Amino acid sequence: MRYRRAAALDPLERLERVQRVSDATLAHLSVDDLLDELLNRVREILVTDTAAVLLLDETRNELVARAAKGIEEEVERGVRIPVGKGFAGRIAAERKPVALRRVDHSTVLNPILFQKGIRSLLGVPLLAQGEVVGVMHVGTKTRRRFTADETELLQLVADRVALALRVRLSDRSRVVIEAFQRTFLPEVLPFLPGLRVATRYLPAATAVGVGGDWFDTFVRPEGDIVLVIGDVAGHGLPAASLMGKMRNALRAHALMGGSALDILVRADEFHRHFGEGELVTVLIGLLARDLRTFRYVSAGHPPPLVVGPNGARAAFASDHRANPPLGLPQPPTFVEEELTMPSGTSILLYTDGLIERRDESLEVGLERLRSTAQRALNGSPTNEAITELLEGMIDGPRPTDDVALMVLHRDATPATELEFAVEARARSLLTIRRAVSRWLEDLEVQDGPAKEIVMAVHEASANVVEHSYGPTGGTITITATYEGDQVEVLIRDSGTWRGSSRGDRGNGLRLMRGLMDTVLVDTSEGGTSVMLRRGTVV
Amino acid sequence: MTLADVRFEREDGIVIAVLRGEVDMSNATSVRQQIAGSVTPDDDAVVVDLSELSFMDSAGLHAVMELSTVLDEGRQKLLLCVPHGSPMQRAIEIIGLPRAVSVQSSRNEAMAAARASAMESRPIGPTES
Repeated sequence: MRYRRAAALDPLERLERVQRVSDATLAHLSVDDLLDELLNRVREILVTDTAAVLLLDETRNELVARAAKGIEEEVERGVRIPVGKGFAGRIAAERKPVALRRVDHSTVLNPILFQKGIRSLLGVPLLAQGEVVGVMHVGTKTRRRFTADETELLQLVADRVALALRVRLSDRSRVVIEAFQRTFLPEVLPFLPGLRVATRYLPAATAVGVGGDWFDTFVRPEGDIVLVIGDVAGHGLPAASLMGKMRNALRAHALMGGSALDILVRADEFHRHFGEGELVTVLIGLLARDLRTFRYVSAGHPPPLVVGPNGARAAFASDHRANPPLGLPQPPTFVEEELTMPSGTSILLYTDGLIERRDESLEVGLERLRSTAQRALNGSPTNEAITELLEGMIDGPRPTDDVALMVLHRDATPATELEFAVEARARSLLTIRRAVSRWLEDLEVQDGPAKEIVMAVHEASANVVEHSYGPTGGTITITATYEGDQVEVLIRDSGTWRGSSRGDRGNGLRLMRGLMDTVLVDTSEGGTSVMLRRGTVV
Repeated sequence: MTLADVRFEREDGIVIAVLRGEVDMSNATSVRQQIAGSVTPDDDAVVVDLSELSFMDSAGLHAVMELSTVLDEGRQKLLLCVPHGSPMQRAIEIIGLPRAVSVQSSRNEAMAAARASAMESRPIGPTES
């Protein structure tokens, strides 16, 4: 058997070839584009048919195909090779180059390689700070014996790749930080009829930018809505983990009760005691359960922007960064502000990334936000509205710094229909009571009948929580209509009735019948629905 | 911060439990246990004041009935203070409560009734049996 042999390279030519893979024009490329370009160049330099990069997935100790040329299927099919197994797995385990002169079942694990007719392979480990982060390999469709020079050259390229990945904070840790950050964003947004909450979190364009922005919103047990938006200075894992701590501390502080100012003072103390002087700005708001007043206090955070009904006017609620940031050595005096929120009003909370551009003053950025929001947020904060706002504020698909934003909007007119679904859990009952009660209040239904309707809807929902679903759970759907002076509420589930476990549940039905004019229970295989109806004029 | 909190007062052998917030199936048992746990064998009566409570469901009323059963065993009287015209009063009207539970519409009336029942049950002088 004859092997095709490449001519030995002279040192100058080798240097010139290496430079082709470390050229400055690659510096601005994203990880994917960079790998693409490097693999093309490697194929050219070493005159091979294929080139591929696999990255190590530490959690599973497997190599995952990340980029490939000539064997694109490897990436498309998401090939995973356990470390220690097959050709690539052996390179990762032994942390040294491996050349294969014969490719078949006995030497490689990945069938794509021999299906594509690859006869010889050369692979090297990707090493960053002595740790294996992946494997790079090249292949030819003709038999070939790779020389020591070629092996060394491929290793040099691999070192560039490893370095480039590390400079870009390595894909792996970027994914980790982004995933980490996502776990700290609220799982569900508060649901209250008459209120719309829209949020966005955009990670920065460069991996280095990924950092400490966050927002949080939830309903406190007594019904007020807590809104938090904050920014931890710095980037990468340290900023993201401090953000996580602050977010959890603030949740605990908010749950203790009190005003926005009380919560902020606790957070300030917390950061003074546990922090190490990191710069943290935060804005804490409490929206009253009747949605009519929004009280907030800022610690060095940019002010809320208020957009009037139909975009009538847009103005910042207070001076820029009225109070100092959190955790100064001497506790400052924070000032709480109050905003009234007439129907149709939107309040925008945001982080610096939205308004800051490298080459312009903050005033210009704030003014651009004011005029863009006035145009985009003149009604309900739909996806389109938020997209319009972001397009007006950010150049390109991703911002240069992290951006977090939250928009609260109070509906302009009360709806005569209400429909929503919640998890069939005991703690959802409060949400149901609040939702129905707010809806009736907006429709100006008298207090007496309103409270009795809420109680009846609660009892029907409590029956669903207790009887309709097993441990896997399910949902409760509430549909309410108001016509003439009649309120009709339908409470539906899709479970199977499980009978009464306690004696008091028969009381629920008695209570519904006593409070409402009509109660109809309809149980079928698809679930149970309870229809409640009563007049609202006493 | 919880859905409901219970504040206790004590006056002449009467335990007064003032409930605030809302009581439903998620916290009814816990509220009942808090009240039962603060009653000593020496107490004559328990007044549960619902006038600051904004909501109570049938599970809450069931907890009141259970509390009444527990107190009955120690011959202690249970009195409820339920404001006139409140949804809780409507619920009590519809579901009904054991006869042993005395329902009053104000704190003063509940206290007066509690003192009267304490006088009845308290033995006068040493008794022989």
